[in-house]
Amino acid sequence: MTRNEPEDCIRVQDVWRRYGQGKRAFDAVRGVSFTVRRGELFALLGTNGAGKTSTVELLEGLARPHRGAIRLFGGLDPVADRSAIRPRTGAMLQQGGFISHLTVAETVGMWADLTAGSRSVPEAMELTGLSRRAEVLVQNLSGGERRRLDLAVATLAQPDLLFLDEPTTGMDAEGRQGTWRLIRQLRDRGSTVVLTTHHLDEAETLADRLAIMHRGRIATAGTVRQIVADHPATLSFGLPAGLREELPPGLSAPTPTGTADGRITLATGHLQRDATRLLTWAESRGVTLEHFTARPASLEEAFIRIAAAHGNDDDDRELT
Amino acid sequence: MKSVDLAHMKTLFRIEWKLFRRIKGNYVFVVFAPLMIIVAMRFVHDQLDLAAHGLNAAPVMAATATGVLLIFSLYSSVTGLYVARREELVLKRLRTGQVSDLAILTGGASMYVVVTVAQIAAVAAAVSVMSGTGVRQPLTALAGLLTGCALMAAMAATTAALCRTAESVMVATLPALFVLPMISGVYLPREVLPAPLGDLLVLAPLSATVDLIRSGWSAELTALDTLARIALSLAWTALFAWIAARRFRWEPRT
Repeated sequence: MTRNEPEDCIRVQDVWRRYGQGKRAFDAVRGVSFTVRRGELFALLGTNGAGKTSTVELLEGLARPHRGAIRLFGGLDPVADRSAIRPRTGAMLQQGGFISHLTVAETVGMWADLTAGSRSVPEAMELTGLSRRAEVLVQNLSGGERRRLDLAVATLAQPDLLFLDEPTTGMDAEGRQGTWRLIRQLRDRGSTVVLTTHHLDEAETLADRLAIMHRGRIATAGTVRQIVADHPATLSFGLPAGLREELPPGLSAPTPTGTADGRITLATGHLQRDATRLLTWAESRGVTLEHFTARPASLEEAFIRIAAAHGNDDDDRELT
Repeated sequence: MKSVDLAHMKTLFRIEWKLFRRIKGNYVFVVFAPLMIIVAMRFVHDQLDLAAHGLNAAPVMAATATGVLLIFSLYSSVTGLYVARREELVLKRLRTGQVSDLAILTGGASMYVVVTVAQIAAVAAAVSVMSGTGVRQPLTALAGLLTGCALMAAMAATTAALCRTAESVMVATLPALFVLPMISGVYLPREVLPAPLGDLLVLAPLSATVDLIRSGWSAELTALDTLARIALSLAWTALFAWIAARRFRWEPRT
């Protein structure tokens, strides 16, 4: 990436993607806007059918937006400027797209021949842990191995911009760790990465910033810290039976949100204050709060709350 | 077309050739299809009494064989190739890389063009040996062959655009497999048809190719007629390419 390029590697402005026509028209992406900064790892999360892949395909230039504008590397249109963009991008589709009767080595070799500045075939296979499967036909690979092959092809060159659509789906734990390591290496060398995933821990571990999509729209965006900050933290503890109705006054969330297994779980927007009050109350009463834990909201909890909060907002879904 | 496109086409050609060679049945098809065509043509043309229509057997056989091979070896195969690669998401995957759309389509098809041209060359040589008649206008025959290949590839892309699935290829190609050779003088020389109909069918998509190939052996076309046939074939090719450019689908329908 050249130095005089702007900080924003991707700019998406009010983008819509429509499938079908007339009465069967369906808007999979509805007015999405975001930016991805140069060298950043940006994750798109969402429920099934949220519009993640539809959005990424627009960024990849595989389809034109029905409405809105996308600009890459400062001002390039993903479709119109495809020939200028492609040498600088790598892409991993949600599903492979490889010829099933070729071997792994033949597939990587074919793509190496089609990619300017490609690393060697053995190196690409080594990096993705496919060396021992080099002579195996693609059709005989497991789901996780196919994702590794896809990653090997997507990262053959050192792309300025890398699109990874659910890169670790079907991978075992070792494969996931290896994939994460390679993604981090690419980002450390300056690549911008756009990642879609169902695995919240993956986004939490890798992403600099993320957006959560729900039913074609971005429900929230920011760093993990920013997103979870908008959601209540949790206080959890066990309390002797006789004291359960006597929780201290002044807690921001005095009503227990859960009492599973005899434990009390409180949701609070003021974790430090409420934890202090609770501990002070317990100390003054000589009460032991068994297995006391205080923790901020996790990304998973934020994600579930967002999905639930927007669960009924699809009445305005455009069917024109 | 840029040199990088040619390099990409070469890579895709090599891959398709590798896959083609892995299926032993393809060797049988490549070798025996031309032989079967020659045997069948001899039988049919003996029944037709070509001389009564002022026709010579060698040019008609060469044109018929070329037409049949263009349709079955090239058009039918390339249509199936495009649809199969689309269903496997290979076309979509290729479009995420540095290969141009034109190189994607022509690279894969070029392997079948080479196989078909080799088959046609073998049949042409056999016809020449059998009839003792050599090619009199090689450039005209070559023009017929090249325009025919381009036309069939463009038709294949158009047909693939209309196919929803790999299973529908068989149905979608039926008109080209059965109707096109009938109206283009491939199965029957147009001279044996009633004059007004035969004259009209000179405009059919593959008629120009058939005429050019025939004239390669018989030298029956004038220079002006030759140019007109080439222009006609190119016009059909441009029409099919135009439709394909607008309707071709790079991934399965959702």
